Amino acid sequence: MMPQPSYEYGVARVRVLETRLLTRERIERMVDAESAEEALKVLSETSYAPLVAELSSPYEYDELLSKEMKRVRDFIDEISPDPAITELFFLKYDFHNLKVLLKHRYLSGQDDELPLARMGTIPVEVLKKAVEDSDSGILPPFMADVVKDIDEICVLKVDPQRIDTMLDRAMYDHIFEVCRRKRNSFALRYFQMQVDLLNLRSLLRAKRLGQGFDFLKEMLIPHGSLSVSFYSRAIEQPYEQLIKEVESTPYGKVVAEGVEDFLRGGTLTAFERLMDDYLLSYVRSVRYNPFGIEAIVGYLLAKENEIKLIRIIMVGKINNLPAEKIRERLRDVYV
Amino acid sequence: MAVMRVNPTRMELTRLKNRLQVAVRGHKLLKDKRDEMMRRFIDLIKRNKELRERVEQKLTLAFKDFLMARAVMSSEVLEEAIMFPTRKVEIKPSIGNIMGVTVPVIEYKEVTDRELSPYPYSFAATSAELDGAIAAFSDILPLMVELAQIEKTCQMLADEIEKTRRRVNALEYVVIPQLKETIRYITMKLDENERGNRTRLMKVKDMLEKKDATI
Amino acid sequence: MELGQIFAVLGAAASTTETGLSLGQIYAILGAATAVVLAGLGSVFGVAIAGQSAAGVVTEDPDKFGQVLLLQALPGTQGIYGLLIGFIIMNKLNIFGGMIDISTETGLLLFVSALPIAIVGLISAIYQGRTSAACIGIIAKRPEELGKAITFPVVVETYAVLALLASFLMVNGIPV
Repeated sequence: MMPQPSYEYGVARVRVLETRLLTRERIERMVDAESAEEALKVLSETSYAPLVAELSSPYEYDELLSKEMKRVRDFIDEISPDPAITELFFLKYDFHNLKVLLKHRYLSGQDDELPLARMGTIPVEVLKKAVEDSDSGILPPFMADVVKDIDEICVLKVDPQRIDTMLDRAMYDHIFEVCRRKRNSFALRYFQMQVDLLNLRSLLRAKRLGQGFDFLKEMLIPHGSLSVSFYSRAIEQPYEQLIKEVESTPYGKVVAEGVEDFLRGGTLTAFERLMDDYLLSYVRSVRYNPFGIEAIVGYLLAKENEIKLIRIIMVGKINNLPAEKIRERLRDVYV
Repeated sequence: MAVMRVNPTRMELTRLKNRLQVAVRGHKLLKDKRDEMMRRFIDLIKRNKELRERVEQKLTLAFKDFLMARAVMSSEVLEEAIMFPTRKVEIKPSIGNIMGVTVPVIEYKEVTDRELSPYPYSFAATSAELDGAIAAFSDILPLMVELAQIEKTCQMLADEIEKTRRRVNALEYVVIPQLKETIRYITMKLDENERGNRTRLMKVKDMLEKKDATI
Repeated sequence: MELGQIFAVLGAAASTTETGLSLGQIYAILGAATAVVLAGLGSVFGVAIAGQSAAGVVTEDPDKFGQVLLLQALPGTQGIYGLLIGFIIMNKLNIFGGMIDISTETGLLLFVSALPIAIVGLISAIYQGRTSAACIGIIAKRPEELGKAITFPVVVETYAVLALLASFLMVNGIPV
């Protein structure tokens, strides 16, 4: 086995690559482009050039993005001084694949193209085999356990939402367990904020759909900093009260602005944008540690963010959405 | 107007007169049917138009929502989120009847398990933009089924109206005038024959009288 | 080359102990060795830390080789300072031309005067290496800011220089 690369090495490589991230100005130019082709042309002036050259039409942008993401994933694998931590950020792909495979099995549908992601920490083939043959022994324990639990529940009745929520929880359980074991306060803090923001979003979504706490509590992920009793109260309270209650938490601003926009426009678009921005700005603020995982994780998240931005722009351009519709969904850039 | 190639006999005349009577009565009935169907059709088409506009408007909005969800989520995650639907509907087609026209009747029934949430995904992994799209689409489905029913009914009714109209026209402009013409022709022919006969008889009578006188 | 000589001298010193080297001489040589070894080790760590950063940058952008090399080399100076002090002590002992005898006290004094550069050199080199590594991050992003990037490790260098000065003055001041 190769020796683990050092933090210094990884961070330095990431620092150079950070300069090649898309800048705000380029993103703006893509938004202002006349057509999807034009937007791609802007992209071809960046480090995406070789990938853009491979595309035969702008409609294949998805392929470009997944190739780029795969590249980033391999890069992180290569330079990560602490794979146990960086892998946590790829677990979502494994759990996504588990969701797909389990749902597919319970649907007992035909074997068509499944929407599997190839970026997980465990090869898709292994997951497939584990789910198809009900052989959870080949999975790591934290996955095997939840798969077994789901099997037990789904004998009686298959509830796709339940499959998703159980897997989400199992994933975060594992993530927090690893963060605590490795005593990585950065990752711990990051995931805690992520969980809090996701829970707040679930709260707002449940409120919008007129659902009660029974519905919401299935969606909540433990390990957040806000208590369950807060959510059970908040779902009944008017929005103003909610804003007041989170004012003193770090998410006060995100919630206040997001809810305000929601009350005005009826969508959570702004809230989602703000929450992504919030997480990214946290990572941005700690990325200067030259001897920690922060900058490396930061680069990964910046890249994920960038890919999201490109997707928003390309979907918008292909469907001829007006520029302001695209802009209201545009997240901050990392650099 | 062409005259039918018939033997100008009295029997034929009676037959034709009967036919004319039937045709005239049929014409009136068909005209009434046509008018009534038109009335029903116009009602339906109005409803159809209104429904179609509503569905189209809602679909546009739903697609817009969906597009946004598509933009902020990766395609794999989006597909996963909606690959296992929890809402199930039963659609039972049967046959209805409007003015003797068989039309489809589609019965829409939701058989969703009430215990299952209508959102077959977890909130943590999906974007809020998806909720709107899913809600909008599930609102639209019953409307779309109704629209399908009405639209097909309109189509079949329109077909039937067209057929009836053609029949009415055929009766009005072809069959009835033709029958009338033929009847006139036969009557004339018969009258002519009558007159010829009479002349012949008179001639014979004359000849007989002359013969008597000379004897 | 120098290292080889030092080892030779140390080896010689060790072998001559049995043949009647005075305790003072042993202390003095121990002082010289400490200065060279500790400060040198510090530089090894420092240069290695900065070097990993430098390698990271050059992997992605080989054009920056010159600038990052400069930053990498900065923690190397402590080793040189250590060697310098070691050398002066050796010189005092006249190690290259038949050792002069010194008292135990003088030997101890020489040993102690080597400590500032030995200890400060060791620690400052490591931290300077870390600072350099961090500053290589600046070069990665803004190669035009080389001057500023060098400043930070140089501030750390100051204290190594001060320690060198202290050691130098002390060693010089000790009459043999």
